[in-house]
Amino acid sequence: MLSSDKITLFELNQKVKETLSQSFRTSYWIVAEVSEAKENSSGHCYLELIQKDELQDYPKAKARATIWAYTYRMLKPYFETTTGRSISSGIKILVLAEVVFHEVFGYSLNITDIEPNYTIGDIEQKRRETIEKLVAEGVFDMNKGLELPIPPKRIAVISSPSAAGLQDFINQLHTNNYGYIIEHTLFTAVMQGNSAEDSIINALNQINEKYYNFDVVVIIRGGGSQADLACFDSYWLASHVAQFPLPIITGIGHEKDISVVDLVAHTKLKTPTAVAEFILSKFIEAESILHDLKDKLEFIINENITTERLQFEKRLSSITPRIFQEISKGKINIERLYQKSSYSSSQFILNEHSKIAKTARSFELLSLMKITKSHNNINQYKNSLANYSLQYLVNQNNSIEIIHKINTSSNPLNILKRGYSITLYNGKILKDPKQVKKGETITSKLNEGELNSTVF
Amino acid sequence: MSKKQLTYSEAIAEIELIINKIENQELDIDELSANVKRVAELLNFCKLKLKNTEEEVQKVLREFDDK
Repeated sequence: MLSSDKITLFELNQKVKETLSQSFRTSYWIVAEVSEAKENSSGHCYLELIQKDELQDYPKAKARATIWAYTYRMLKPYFETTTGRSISSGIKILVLAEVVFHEVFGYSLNITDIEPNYTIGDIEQKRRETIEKLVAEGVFDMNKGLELPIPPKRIAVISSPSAAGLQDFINQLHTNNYGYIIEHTLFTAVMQGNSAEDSIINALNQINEKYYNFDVVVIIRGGGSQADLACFDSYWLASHVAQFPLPIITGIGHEKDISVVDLVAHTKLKTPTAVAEFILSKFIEAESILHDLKDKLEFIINENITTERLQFEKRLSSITPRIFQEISKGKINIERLYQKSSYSSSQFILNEHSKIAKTARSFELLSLMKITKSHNNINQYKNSLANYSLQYLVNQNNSIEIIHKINTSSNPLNILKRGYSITLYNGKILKDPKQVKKGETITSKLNEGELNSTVF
Repeated sequence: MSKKQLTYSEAIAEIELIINKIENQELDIDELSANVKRVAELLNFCKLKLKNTEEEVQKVLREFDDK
């Protein structure tokens, strides 16, 4: 082997470099996927570009690429504002690149320009595919179908503790003017970059383990870069959100377009502040529902009371006259009893009076009869006395007559001259009063004439 | 009288009983004034009870109307 046949590695690499620069004089628009992207402290961006086999997830080509700081300073904001993405792994890009070869670092591409519209188209297409897949699986509307509890009191928040948006959310909730005390539980997650998707899914899984402790899940981010929102278009995250058992509210805070996660979420809002306002509005709604119910209840109660009252009054007014009727009946009855008692007691007394009067009269009659009888007796006594006396006198007279007869012719008229009288009954001299009955007339013969008397 | 409060209907019954006795001359004259006195007493009791009841009823009705 000759020494002139030998060249150094540097000489070889120089030859390669020379050959390449002669063959690739111009730049090329290249389509590739970013598999790795790194910025270094000097502001240069180092990429690894890849092309995968369309059927298998298998690299078909690979190349290192560089965007030098002076280019990257311009390309980065242009790309990010246009696409809403940063140049990061997983995205497809269309770049203008020249082929360079360095003796030490070897083959690489020097990127001088980028066409963001290609990326937008690619993102759009992927988005569409993702949405179509979710719709085809029948999960796209699932989360929207859940009912949001009113008010949503137990809030699970997925966010990054360092995110400004989280603080906005908390402030808005806590400094509400209505005095609501609203608590939340934070489930921390990385909210941007490549690990965001897994991190958010992980947080969702944690909540899912005790989903019954929560009413709603809030996914918020804010502040930080507008780029790096690729994870919210991810099929897996969107699929988790769509099928989550609790309603999910998003406040992801990008303005450009709506992510797939937003589309499948129960409620999508732009900012964390808007999410807090939305939750507060649900509290106000709950309160007004309670107010309405209270009013309704009051109305129904009042209505019932009025109806009952009316009915009661109606019944009462039908009863009232009957009550007074009863009372006046009682009064009449008392009056009647009073009349009856006074009548019957005076009747009673009258009766007793008449009894007494009757007794008195019979007593009087009895007495009168007794008196009459006594009178008769007395008369009888008188008569007998007279008769006896007369008899005596007659007897005496007889003796005298005898004497007279003996002595002088005696004349009974001479005796009459001396005041004696002869009692005649039926023309005969009456010698026994028993011959005469009461009411009959007797004649007394006196010296000078006669005297008729009725026996008493 | 027993310690039990006399009721209106008891009073009326007693009045009727006494009046019946008087009407049927079942009483001794010596008992009459005592019985009439008792009837008067019972009648007054009934009258008072009626009056009180009436007032009570009116008061209750008035109270209801005030509400």
